[in-house]
Amino acid sequence: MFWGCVRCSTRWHRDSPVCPSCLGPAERTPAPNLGNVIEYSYKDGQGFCAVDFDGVLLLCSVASGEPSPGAVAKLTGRGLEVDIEPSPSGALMEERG
Amino acid sequence: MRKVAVIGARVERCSLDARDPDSLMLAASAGLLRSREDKNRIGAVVCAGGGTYSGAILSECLGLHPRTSHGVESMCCSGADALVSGYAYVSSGLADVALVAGADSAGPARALEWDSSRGSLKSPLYWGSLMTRAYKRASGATAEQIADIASKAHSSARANPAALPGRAHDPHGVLGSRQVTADLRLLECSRPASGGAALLLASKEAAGESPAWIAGIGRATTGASFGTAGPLDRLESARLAAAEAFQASGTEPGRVDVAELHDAFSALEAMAAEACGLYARGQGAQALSEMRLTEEKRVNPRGGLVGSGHPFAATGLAQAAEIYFQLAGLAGKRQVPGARTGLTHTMAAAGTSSSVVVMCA
Repeated sequence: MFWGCVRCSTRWHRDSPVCPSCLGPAERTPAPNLGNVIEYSYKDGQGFCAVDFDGVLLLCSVASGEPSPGAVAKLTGRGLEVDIEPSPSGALMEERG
Repeated sequence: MRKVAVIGARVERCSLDARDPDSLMLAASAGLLRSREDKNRIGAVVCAGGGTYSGAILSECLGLHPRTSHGVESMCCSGADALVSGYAYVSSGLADVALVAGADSAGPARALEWDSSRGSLKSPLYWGSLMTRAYKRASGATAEQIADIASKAHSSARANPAALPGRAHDPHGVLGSRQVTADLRLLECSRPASGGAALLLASKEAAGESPAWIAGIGRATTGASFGTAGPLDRLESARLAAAEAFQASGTEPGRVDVAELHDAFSALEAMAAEACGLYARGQGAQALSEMRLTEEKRVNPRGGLVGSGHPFAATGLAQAAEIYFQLAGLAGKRQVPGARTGLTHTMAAAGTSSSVVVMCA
């Protein structure tokens, strides 16, 4: 789950009921389903990556697929774990930098 | 604001065994004050890394009766921020002399448990790995260049009596060390260590002459969560803090003779060097790689965190102490000849905040 401001469109991931943009009240909101891989690496053969979900950057473990910058990542519903879509052609946004 | 000098510094040797931070802080502070006569002029005691009420406890143990005493906590920036607080007390006139001390114990690497954006991947190895890969991708830096930087750190640390015990490693040794992640070798990572450091700051009136003056301080916080640090291939908080520090000091990166940069991982030394303006963007790794061959000591002459160890709350103070030693001509084999301008960069939590201090002779 994300948090979203009831006044403006700002969204964030941390557990905090105050909008950091307008200081308005907030409510829990579903996380975006898809995000873009910004960078990735492996530890002990397990992939992990930084994924941009509509402007919110999260550090996710990879359940399946080969991550690469621009690849589309989909939350599996098990915490911050993602499946990587097979083709990067559907990238949602350009690689940061 | 009053001019503030660093008039003394002491660093306790790092070790890998767990030690009591309050005892390390006391050892560093007592060692610093033992040969001095200005103990009773200390009006502020600022501590980093100690336990509850550490400033007052340290004061009592040292027989000090300062106007104010307190702790500072900002993860790996704690020591640097204790220095900033001590500077503020002296420059504002709330104290003529300030003791700033920091210490920490070896143990598991610190992680910001609050940061839910890291999911279960709390270890600094994860962000360090992603930033290393992103930097190499953006700058074209090679694995060999990063290994050169790590090799430089381990070699430089051999001339630092306060560094972790160890030996020099050539780049082949670095590349042959255990692969911690796909982007990090063991010898490219700083190690949590026990250690302590203390500095004494004084107003111009109290100091008289001094070899080192704090000329400018910059501080930047982009957030606390991993995702707020900015693009992964650079250190945005360091860039902001350095710009502020240079503006305050009236000097510029090209005049920095010696710098202590926060190399939690070796690639971060290059990223910090670029963020502080010491090298053009994308050129840091090559410049630091060449420094290994020329044995130039401009950056991290004490071996950085990778070579010396990383006693979290003491790191920023150990860095500042090194710049004091360099400007005072007390750095021994590490001495940069004729050093007159120095800089420290310290950061916390994936680079979400940075402190930069510029000192001048």
